[in-house]
Amino acid sequence: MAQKTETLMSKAAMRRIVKKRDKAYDSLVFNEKYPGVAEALIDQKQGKLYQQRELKARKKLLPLEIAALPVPERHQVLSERGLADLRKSQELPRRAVEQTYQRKLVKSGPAEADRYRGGALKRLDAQAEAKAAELAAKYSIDAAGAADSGAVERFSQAEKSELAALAALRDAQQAEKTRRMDAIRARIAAQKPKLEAAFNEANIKLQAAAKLDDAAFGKDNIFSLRNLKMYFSGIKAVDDLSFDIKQGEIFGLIGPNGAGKTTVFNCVTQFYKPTAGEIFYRDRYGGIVSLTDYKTPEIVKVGISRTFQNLELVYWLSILDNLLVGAHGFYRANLADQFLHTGRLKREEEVFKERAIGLLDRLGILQYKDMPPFGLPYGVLKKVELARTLMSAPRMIILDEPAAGLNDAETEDLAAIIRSIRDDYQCTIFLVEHDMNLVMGVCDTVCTISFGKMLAIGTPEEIQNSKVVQEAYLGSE
Amino acid sequence: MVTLKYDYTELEKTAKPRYVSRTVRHPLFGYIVLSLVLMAMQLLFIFGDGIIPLNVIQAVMTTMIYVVAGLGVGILLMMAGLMSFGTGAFIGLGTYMAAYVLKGMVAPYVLILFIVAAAAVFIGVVVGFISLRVRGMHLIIITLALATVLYTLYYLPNDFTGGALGVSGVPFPELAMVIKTSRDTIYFVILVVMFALIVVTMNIINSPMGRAMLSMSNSESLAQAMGINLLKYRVLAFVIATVYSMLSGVLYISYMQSSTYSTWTSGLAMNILIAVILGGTAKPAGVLIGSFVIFAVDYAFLKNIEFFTKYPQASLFFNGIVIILIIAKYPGGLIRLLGSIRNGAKMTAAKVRLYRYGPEN
Repeated sequence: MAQKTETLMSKAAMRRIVKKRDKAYDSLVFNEKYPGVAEALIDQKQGKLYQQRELKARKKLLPLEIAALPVPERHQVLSERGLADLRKSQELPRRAVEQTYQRKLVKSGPAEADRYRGGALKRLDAQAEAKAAELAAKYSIDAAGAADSGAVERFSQAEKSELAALAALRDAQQAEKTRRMDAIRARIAAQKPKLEAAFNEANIKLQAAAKLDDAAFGKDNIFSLRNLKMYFSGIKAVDDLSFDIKQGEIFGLIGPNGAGKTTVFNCVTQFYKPTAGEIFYRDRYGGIVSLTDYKTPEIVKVGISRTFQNLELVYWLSILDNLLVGAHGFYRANLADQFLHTGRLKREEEVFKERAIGLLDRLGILQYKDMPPFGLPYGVLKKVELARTLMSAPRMIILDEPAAGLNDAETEDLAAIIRSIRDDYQCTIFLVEHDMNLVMGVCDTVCTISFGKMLAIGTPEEIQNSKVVQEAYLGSE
Repeated sequence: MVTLKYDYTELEKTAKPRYVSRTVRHPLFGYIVLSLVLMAMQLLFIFGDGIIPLNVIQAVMTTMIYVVAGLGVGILLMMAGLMSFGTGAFIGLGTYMAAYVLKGMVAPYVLILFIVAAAAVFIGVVVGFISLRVRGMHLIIITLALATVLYTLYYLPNDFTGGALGVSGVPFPELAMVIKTSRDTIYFVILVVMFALIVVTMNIINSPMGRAMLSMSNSESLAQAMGINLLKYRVLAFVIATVYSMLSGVLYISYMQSSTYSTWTSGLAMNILIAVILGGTAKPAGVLIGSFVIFAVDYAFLKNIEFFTKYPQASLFFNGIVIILIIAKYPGGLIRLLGSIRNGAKMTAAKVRLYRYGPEN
């Protein structure tokens, strides 16, 4: 193993540089995403304002337009509108009469009820007839004549001025939008060289300090477990386990109960510090890092995101906010920004919310976005957890028994989702699962362990045909 | 059928401006209305002759002061899931520090608030680190012990707290060196500070920080996997609670003008804690309702009843019964009451509509 023996910097120094680099990188990512989000928001706001102005203009123009019509049409329109108003105004009273009729039917018998309804409807009908007669008299269809030239003139003038006002508003909005977008783009362009320089400087330092070079790690690999040992006071939960995961593959870890699968996960995510051995990982910048150098909350920033065996959702937050929890490590807004809700925090929230809504939409659960997780179907909550892992733009997703508690149809659905996530987001997927249908159907490589030791590794077919694995699961004859 | 070019029936459905509903739905709308009402009350008290009795104003003032501390406790308890009995002692510390500054020099009020807040940040960090490795009941014991230590320190003869006599005769603060406050106008200062802290609390609840605290109290492993640094947010919750408590102390001394050690017991902390639990949420609305029940009811209403003036201790008895009833009826807190009132109004309106017009077809 061509492992570099000398460490060039202390852990604390490394962590400082990592923080600097991540901040620069997050800023770059944010700057790339923000203009699109900002533009959409400006469009939305301006569109609404424009519509309101248009409504106002129409409200002003419609009576003038009607007045400018030639006579038979004008009368037709006016009487139609009058009748429509009448119908609308009588709708509720008629419903009320019907409801009272039903009540009276039970209370005082059909005769009394009929009498009441007859009277009430008669009154309403009489009212309607009177109104219709009035309209007919006022706007007789037989009368003919040209349009009033004064009214036509007034209408065309008003139309011209209103259309000009609308056009002016649109131009002003366009100019405002261009101005704001230019300001945003200029700010981003000004920041870019500085951020890139900061990122590169830190990245070069870190890559130089990497414990492993590319050749020793394997060019296609994203993850490598080397002689991992995890002992709990004498119990060897994981004993000398080594395997590699290739970039973009779906890797399944299986084993009988108590084989140490979850312990492996917890070692990878640094919930446990391994007794011995190394865990290498190619981070999102292409550098090779040793995960044991990181603390638990920093793992998500390296690009590894996980789900839990039992659903771990925050039940006091809406689904959307639950997803935003997944993006927590990527906020750059400091505490003061958060206390005062400055523009910086709001801009970041907009970007993350847009991402969250996109993910929910992608997984087909957008309609639940404002609900708390209470009482939602288990399959939906599993999808929420998946979406939350994707909030951190991970390069490797760790799924801890994703099919637990799902029925067959949901499991099939899940398999499709896992594959499509791998393809759409260029993720590597590392899963622990008991459901053999899922594992054999979806995984590219399967690794079997028993009592912390590797039994076999290979394609699903090889594992299915392996004698050792059969023995471990079913016992020897 | 004549088609009209400027028909707006369709457009009206999407483009109708909804200024009123947008204003009413704003999260701060209720708090602004409440502040205006409280302001009007004090104006009536000053200018109207005896319309508002003095004891009501006193009750409102006391409640506002303790609401400020309650907001901090709400964040600590309801968001971060941590409990502290040190609130009372920290309010006391705030009063002594403010008294020291107010007596020693003429400083603008904002500066005093900042000095005390800065000291509170320091103390909060210390307390946060002390309580880092303990949780649950052990944390409660540690904060209780801390409160007792502070209480004893206040009691011991010294210049800072005035020993058993306490500090008294503290002048009313001056705002920005020019405007002198009086017993009447300090009310507005307290109101403004309370409102500002309500806004900050809402911001905390609706920011990544608030979500992080909630996930931390929900499940620590989840929080860690999501990149949330437990240490940071635990300490932060303590810092926020301490700052709020000590600011509440500043408000207390600028209204009461005196402070004695016997007020700053863990009993006060417990009362504030109960107020928050009765409210049932970290949201200011819950804290306001809970504090009203605990601190205002007996001052504002019971003092008018002859029985309670004859036996002052009976108000505690009454408080106890109220707490039992509320906890039994609304275990999720009085905030649920607001929700059920709103739902009830909606249901009633729907029922009336159904009764009058029948089902919509």
